Amino acid sequence: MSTYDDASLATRFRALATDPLPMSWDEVLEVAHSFERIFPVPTVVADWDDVHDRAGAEQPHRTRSFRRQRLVAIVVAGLVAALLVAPGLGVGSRLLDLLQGPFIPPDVGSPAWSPDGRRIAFSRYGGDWYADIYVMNADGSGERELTRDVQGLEWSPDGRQIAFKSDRSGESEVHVINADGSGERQLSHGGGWSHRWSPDGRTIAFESTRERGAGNTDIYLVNADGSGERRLTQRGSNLSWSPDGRMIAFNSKRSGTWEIHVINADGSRQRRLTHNGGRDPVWAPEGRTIAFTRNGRIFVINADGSRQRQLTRREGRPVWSPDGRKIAFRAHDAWIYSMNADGSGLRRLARSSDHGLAWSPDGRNISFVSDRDGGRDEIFVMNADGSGQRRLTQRG
Amino acid sequence: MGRLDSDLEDLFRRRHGAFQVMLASVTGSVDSARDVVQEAFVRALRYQDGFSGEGSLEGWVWRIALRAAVGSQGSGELSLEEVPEIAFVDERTDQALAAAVRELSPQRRMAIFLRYFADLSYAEIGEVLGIAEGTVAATLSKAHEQLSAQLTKHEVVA
Repeated sequence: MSTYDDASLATRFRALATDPLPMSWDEVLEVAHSFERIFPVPTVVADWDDVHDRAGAEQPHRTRSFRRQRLVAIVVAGLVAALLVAPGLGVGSRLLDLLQGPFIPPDVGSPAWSPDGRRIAFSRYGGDWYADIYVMNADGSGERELTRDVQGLEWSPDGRQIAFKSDRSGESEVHVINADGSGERQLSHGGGWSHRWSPDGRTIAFESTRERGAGNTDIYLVNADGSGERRLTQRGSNLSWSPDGRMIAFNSKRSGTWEIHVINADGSRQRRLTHNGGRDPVWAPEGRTIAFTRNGRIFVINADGSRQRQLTRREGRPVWSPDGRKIAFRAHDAWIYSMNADGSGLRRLARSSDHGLAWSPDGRNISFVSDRDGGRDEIFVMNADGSGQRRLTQRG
Repeated sequence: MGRLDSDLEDLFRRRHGAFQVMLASVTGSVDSARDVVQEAFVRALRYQDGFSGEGSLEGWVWRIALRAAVGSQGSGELSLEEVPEIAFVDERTDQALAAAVRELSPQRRMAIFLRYFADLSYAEIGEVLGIAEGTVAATLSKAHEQLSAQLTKHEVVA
């Protein structure tokens, strides 16, 4: 039997596999960019009145998906013509399929608690990666649509507004909307995403590649009223505000490897905290420590760069409880775990189908996404100890 | 296009070969697998905000790639039932193994391919297929048993 163990099978399979073909990243970029030019994602946005009229109406996606299909048909026709005229365009042979090809995104995602803990905003996906924002009460009642075709939602600290990313202007930009669905406006100009409100709600930090092109992310700030857009630092991403709003942690490859850096919010005093690798910093609510990942594992380090320690052997992205005493994360085994801030008391809480893990502002509950009921993603809430798991959203 | 551009580029440069080899088992040829890999990375670039950051970027791209590969054949749902024969293998190299693999259920075949062609860990396979690591271990263990039995039979006869 030992002839057929893992290692020997691995060798035999390797011999069985054919050699891969050469591929070029530049070509991937070229296709992505030509796709972007031909088909800037969602240019079809429902009229504002339309959105309000149909808030709560059944099957809200149908109209949009028909429009989208029509648009896709037109684009495909144009593209076929373009390919016939210019066969040497260099786009991949499957670009047509790329336009038409079905691709099933998650159904719901990104649950985010309002700061008062009474509402949960979340995304509901139509037939693509762009979602509509819904808001419901924390008990799952009163679900209504806020706006459409967006990604990445975050409540303002006062709970009155929600920031999101949308491509509706033709570029990915940071937008803000009032929590009642009124007063939508674009904050960034020239490209912006991965936005984070400052703790006082006056400033929004975000990422953009507007100056140095694709792959070169810099961090920018803009006032919440849309004024004063400015670059904070070059070469930084995955930012996290300190709870007092004075500093921003981020990861950067400027030293050759991914490391955690910190900068004052006024742009002064940049310093590197880690030296052996670090990604995805998340400032602890108490302000003294920063959680981050190294090779996927969760670490913490003091904000002054001292006392770095590893908390987990499992891989996951740390999410601090509001009181800073616990860290929750979703591991590769698809379970949500929680542990004390020192890494002790690891507890397995619930299975989660993919993304979206958030503490309620009072720290008593954790919202998450699961497809346990019938294979569709839905938003669930559980007590922070994993008990009392209950589903909040329902498929209409 | 976004904050993950350089990560995706890293992943592409390191792993596009493994992606092709694995996906060739789904699409039937390395040529079409190459197209699917390109398509998967284009989608990942464009829709990178759909990556929640939980779990690995590679796992996420694998899911896109498998969906693209399966989607190129039909429904677009990532259905294990649709994993086809390993049409691309040169059976002269290892006829016994190719025959044994053909006997595996689609689930076991997919797990085996992700293990040996894509060189993924049990945890990563679980992430890609959306099943627990323990289920991956159980599936692979049963696949191993079945392969061993088939190979023993075949090689004794041969």
